[in-house]
Amino acid sequence: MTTIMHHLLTIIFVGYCLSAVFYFAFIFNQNEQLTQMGKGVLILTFLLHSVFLFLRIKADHDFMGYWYAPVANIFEHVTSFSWGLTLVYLITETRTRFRALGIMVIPIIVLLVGWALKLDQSIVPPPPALQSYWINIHVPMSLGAYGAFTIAFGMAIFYFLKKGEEKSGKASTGILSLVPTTVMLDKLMYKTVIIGFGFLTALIMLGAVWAEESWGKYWSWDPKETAALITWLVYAVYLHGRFSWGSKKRDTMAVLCLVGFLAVIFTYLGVGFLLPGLHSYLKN
Amino acid sequence: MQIRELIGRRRVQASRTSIESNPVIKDAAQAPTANKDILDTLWTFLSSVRMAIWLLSISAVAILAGTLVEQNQPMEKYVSTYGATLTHIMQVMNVFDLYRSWWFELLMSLICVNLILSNFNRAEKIIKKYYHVPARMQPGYFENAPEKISCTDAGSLNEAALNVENSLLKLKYRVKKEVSPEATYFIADRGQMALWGSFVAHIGLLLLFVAVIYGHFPGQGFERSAILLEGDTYRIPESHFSFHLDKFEAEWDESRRPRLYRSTVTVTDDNGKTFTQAIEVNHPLNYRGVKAYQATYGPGRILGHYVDPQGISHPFSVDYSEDRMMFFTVEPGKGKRWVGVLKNFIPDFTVGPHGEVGSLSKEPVHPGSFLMLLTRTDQMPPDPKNIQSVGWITADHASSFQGVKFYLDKVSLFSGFQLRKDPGVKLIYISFIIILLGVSLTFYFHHKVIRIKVSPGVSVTAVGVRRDKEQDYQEEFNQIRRSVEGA
Repeated sequence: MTTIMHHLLTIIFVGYCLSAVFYFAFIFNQNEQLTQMGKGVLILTFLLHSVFLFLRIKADHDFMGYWYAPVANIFEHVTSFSWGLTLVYLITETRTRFRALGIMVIPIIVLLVGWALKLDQSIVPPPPALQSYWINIHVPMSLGAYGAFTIAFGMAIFYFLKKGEEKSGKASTGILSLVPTTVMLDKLMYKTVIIGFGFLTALIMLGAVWAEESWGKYWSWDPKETAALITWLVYAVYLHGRFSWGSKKRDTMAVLCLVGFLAVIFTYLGVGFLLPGLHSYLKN
Repeated sequence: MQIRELIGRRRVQASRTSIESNPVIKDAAQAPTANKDILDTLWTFLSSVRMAIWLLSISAVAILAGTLVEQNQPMEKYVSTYGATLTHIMQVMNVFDLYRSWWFELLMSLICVNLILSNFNRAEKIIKKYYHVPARMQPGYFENAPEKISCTDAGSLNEAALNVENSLLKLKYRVKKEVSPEATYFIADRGQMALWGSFVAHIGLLLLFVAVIYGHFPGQGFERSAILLEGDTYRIPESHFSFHLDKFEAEWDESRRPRLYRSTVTVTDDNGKTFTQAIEVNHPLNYRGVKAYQATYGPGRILGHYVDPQGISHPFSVDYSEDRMMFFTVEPGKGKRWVGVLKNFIPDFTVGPHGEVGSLSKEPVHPGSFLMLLTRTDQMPPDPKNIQSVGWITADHASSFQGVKFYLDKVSLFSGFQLRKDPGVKLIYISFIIILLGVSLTFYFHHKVIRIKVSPGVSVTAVGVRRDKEQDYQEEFNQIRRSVEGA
């Protein structure tokens, strides 16, 4: 079963790579069909990825005797997060028709799935602290939060590329001709950040409720908690800034999206692997 | 009194705009502007969004420092990591106990002040927006609107106005109308609750601070830990009950990861009520406002036995000590009396290919220890030549001395509990709900305002006025257009 799952994940990895190839080909040839093919492959791979996660949930259930979200160890979280990121991306692309965004986001998905392939995929019982229904409520919030912030990061990168082009006064050429204006990108970033912010707020609060039940303390200043709080504060600065400055300081807003994404990486990986603390399940 | 005075001051400021447009009282209004005193400046400064941005940014940097620098560690560890000079500077700055430092508490206090003051201002603005919306616009408002719909040939003036009103009501808008000879004006809005979003979110945050302070108020709650071996009873000084550890169980999987650890306790309160309950991670005991959590476990007592040359087995037990040698008495018969000394406790004993001893994990699943024997108990200090190294002992590997075989059978584990009473927790949960409600109202619900001018002629001009959100009014524009053109 483990071998079949590994092969399935390899096919998913290839699928995402293929989709990335189509999106990157779009840089050199702005034929809309290329992104349509890229999106088609992405949707198919996403469906396969959903099947993979369902099989994993089923296998976890058969092993442990109860159902739980596949986020109980680093392998499961990375595969679930890459799935969540794909879903958030597909929703964003469908709603905004901002296809070039795939160039920024799909490589991140490829990296995540590639990393998952290298990780230990065996099913192990979750540590006692994670044996709780809260795992199904608290951890999935991170998919929405980190997913949205990753998308906002991709938009912020495009913002600066587009800004450079707009500053030069030249007419848009190449891939940037298919990127919305900086004004529109600023609006899109805001819309994405508020989605992520809602998820992050819920993530931290539900985590506090779980911590109260599990560790006996709703807040322990644990590195994972503080890193998530830093991320929340960065995006809170973003939202207050946008409220205060409107769209006058778009550059600052985009910089905050980049800083926020650094905070996300620090929370997701840096804390789990580098710093000791109550959340150090990743080391397992 | 001062607050009331300040609120009064804010009101003066708020009404200043309308006063300034009136030339008759403009001069009178300029006096308080000139005399803008320090309290006014302080209020403006402390309640500003800019202040909030600074406070949030500084908090983020401070918490980052607290995350990167491990808190409350021994000073030697800091000196070896950062060097003496940097350690001294960091110590002066309270970086090693950052979250309890005076400056971090000051930072949090300033955030509270900002929350309180800015919410006063916010409430004032919201109420104004909610109840006092003028229908009449400044000249040029409709002409200069960034995005608008305009319909001409909309029938008679009254008919067009009626159609516009009906279409707005159908869209569940609250409609205000003002008729003047030159035109009929409408101002309509929907989703007024969204206006309160940020106010509610900030009230929730304030409540969170209050709840945290309340939970830490002297006499309100407590926090302590207790280490118990099976058979021990613990009375929580601040409560009216005690609990007895009946049994502690721990299970590990094949990879030596803990699968489960559980304490079975019997609680007895001062009224004589008793009951038994299992406490596990994620399943604390909750009794009379006190919660007992399964926090940790570890080696508590080492149990073993030795078999004397006559084949008689004698049990021994010794309290576990992490950093000291552990002693027990050995009576191998014939009136002999030795002292067994256990050192180098190995929780998960294994022997490598070259005979080296190590531990496969930190879990006490296969304990082992090195045994020494002190054969003369009458010498103090003992003569080193009377200290015999016997060898490693485990449950399945004995070491012997003069025909006496020693085994280390198992380790009985201690159970560590975290005991806590925090009356602020419920309030914290309520604040979470309020914050989430506020965040949802702010970001996912929209207060939509639409302004419409129906002019004789007949033309209808509608403008959605939520900043940067004109595209969100397409449904309304279409509905109005249809209702007007249909007529």
